Amino acid sequence: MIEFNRLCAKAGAFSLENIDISIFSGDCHVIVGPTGAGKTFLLETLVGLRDLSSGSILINSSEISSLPPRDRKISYVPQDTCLFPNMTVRENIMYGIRMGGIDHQQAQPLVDHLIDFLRIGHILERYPGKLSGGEKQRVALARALVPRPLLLVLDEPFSAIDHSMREEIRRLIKELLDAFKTTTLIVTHDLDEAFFLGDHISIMLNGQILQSGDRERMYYYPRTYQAASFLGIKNIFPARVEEVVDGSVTIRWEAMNESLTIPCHCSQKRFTRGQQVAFGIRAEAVYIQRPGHEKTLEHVFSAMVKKIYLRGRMHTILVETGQSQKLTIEIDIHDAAAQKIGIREGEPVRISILPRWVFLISDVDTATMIK
Amino acid sequence: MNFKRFTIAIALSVTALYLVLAGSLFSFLDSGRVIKALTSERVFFSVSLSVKAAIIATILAITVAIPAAYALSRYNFRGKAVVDTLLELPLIVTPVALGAMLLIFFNTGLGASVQNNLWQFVFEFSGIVLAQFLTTVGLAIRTIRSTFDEISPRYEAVACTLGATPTQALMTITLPMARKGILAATVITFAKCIGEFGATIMVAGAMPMKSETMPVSIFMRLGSADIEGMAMMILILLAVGLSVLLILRFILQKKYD
Repeated sequence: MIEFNRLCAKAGAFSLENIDISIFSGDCHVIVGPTGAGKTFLLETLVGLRDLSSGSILINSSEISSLPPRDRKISYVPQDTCLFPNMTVRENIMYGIRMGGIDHQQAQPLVDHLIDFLRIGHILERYPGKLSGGEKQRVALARALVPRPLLLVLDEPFSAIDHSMREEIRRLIKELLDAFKTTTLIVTHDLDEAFFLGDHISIMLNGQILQSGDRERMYYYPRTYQAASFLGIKNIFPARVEEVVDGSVTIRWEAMNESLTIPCHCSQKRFTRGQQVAFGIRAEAVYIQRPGHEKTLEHVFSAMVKKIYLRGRMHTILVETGQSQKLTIEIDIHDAAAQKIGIREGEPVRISILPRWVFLISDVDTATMIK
Repeated sequence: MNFKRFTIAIALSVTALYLVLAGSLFSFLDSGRVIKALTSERVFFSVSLSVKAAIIATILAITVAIPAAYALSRYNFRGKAVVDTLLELPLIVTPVALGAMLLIFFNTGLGASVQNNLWQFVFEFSGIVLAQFLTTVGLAIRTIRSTFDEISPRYEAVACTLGATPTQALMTITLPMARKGILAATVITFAKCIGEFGATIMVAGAMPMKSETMPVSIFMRLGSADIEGMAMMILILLAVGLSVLLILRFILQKKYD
C-alpha cells in the first residue's frame, strides 16, 4: 500500500497542500485534474525529483521520502515517455536491469513476456526517433515494468498519442495492469481516461485533493461543488434539508415543489434539518420517460425540449421545467433510445429523477450557485 | 530589386570580399618556393607547435567545461550569476589584455610561487597552452552548457528511477545525448586555440623555433618583411580553419538513426 500523509511541497509560488491519498496494492489510482493543478509536481515529489516541505510518503509502511529516486522502487513514465534516444528499444528496455544490478537470466522471462504482451518484438533494434507515439508508449511501459517496481507512475500516458491510436493503447494499458497486477498511479486531465483506467480516483485542483474514492462513487457522487463542476455535471440545484433519518436525507426542491428522499452516500453528520444545500445528478442519470411506461418511474416532471445536441452515440438534450421558477436540466441519452422515444425540439417530454443517483453538496454558497 | 535579391546580394558580397582577400595571397606565391618553404624546418615547427598546443589546450578546456557546464545548466547555487558573468570575460577582454593579466599575475607573490615551485609558464610551451586554455574555456563552457540546456533533466530522472546513480545517468544518458554539442564545442575550441595570438605572444613571447605558433609566425614574418612566408602561413591557417568548419558541419548534420 502506498500512502501520502499530509504531504506538502512548494515550488515558487505554487504549493501542494496536505495531500492525503492511499493507493491499495494492485490497484490503479488515477489523479485527475485540469492543467496546472499540480499533478506532475506531485508525481515528481513522489519519485524523488522534488523535496517535501512536510508530510510523508509510505510504501508498505516504510517512509521513502528521504531515499534517492533509485532506491524508491518507483518506475516513472513521463508525459513524453523520455525514451533514451541514444539507445535502441532493446537497450532502453534492458536499462533497468543494467543499472539496477538485476540478474539477466532471472529477468529474461519477464522481459520476453512484456515484449510479447506489448507487441514490440519487431521494433527491438530501432531507435526511439523512428517510433510512433503508440510504440514509444509501449516501449516506455516495458522499460518501466522490467525492474518489477512497487509502484508504476504514468504521467498523462496518452497525451503524445494520435487520437486514432489512443483507444488501442488505453485498452492495452488496462489489460497490462490487470495481467501484471502492478500498483499504478496515473495522472491525467482526461475524465474518460480516468474512469476507464482507475479503480480509485482523486480529483486535484490548485494543489489540493478535492475528493478521493472508488470509481462509481466518484463518478456519480461528488461531494463538493468544485468537484461536481470539474466532472462536468451541470444539473446542480439548490434545496433545503427537510429531514435526516438513518441512511437517508430528505430534501425539499422548492423550484419543483417536490421532496426527494436521498440515500446517504457519505456522512450524515454534514446535514442538519433546515440547512441550505445543493443537490446534483449526472446528465445520463436523468431519464426521459418512454410513452406507455409512465408508472415505472418516480419523481416525474413535465418539461419542454429546448435544444438537442447530436454527438454520435450519445446526444445531449436541454429541457426546461419548473413551477415557481424555470430550470434547465441537461440529459444525456443514447442515440437508439432518443430515436425510439422520438424526441424533438419544442415538444413536451416527461423526465424522471431517481433519488439513488442524486448527490448532495453541503459546502456550497447556494446564492452564488443560483447566479 | 526585391527584398530577397537584396539580402542574397549582401551575403554574396561578403563572401566575395573574403574570396578576394584569400585570392590576393596567391599573388605573392610561386609554387616552387611554396613547396620548399612548406618542407622547411621552421614551418614544420610552427605547424606542429600550434597543433600540439591546441590539442592539449582543447582537451583541458573540454575536460573542465563539461562538469562546469553541467553544473551551470542543472543546479542553482550561490554565486551562479557571478560565475556566469565572469565566464564572459574572454569575450569582453581582448586576448592581449588577458595575456597581460597573466603576465602581471606571474609577477605577484602567488604567481611567482607557482612559477618557481609548480610549473614554468612564462616564455614556455606550457605558457602557450595556458594562454589558449584561458581564452577558450569560457566559450567551451557556454557551448556545452547550451547543449545541456536543450536536454530535458527528465531523462536523467527516469534513469535514476530505473536504478542509475546520478553519475551513471550522466554518463549513460546525458553525455551520449550531448555528444554532438560536445564535439561541436571541441572543434570550435580547437579552431580558436590554433588561431590564438594575443594572449600567446604576451605569455610565451615571439621567439623563433621556441614559441613560434602559426599566428605568431605570421606576425614575425610580417615584421621581417617576409611577405611570401607570411602569405603561406595564412594559407595553412585558412586550410586548418576551413577543415575544422567542414568537420563541424558534418557533426551537426549527423543525427541518430
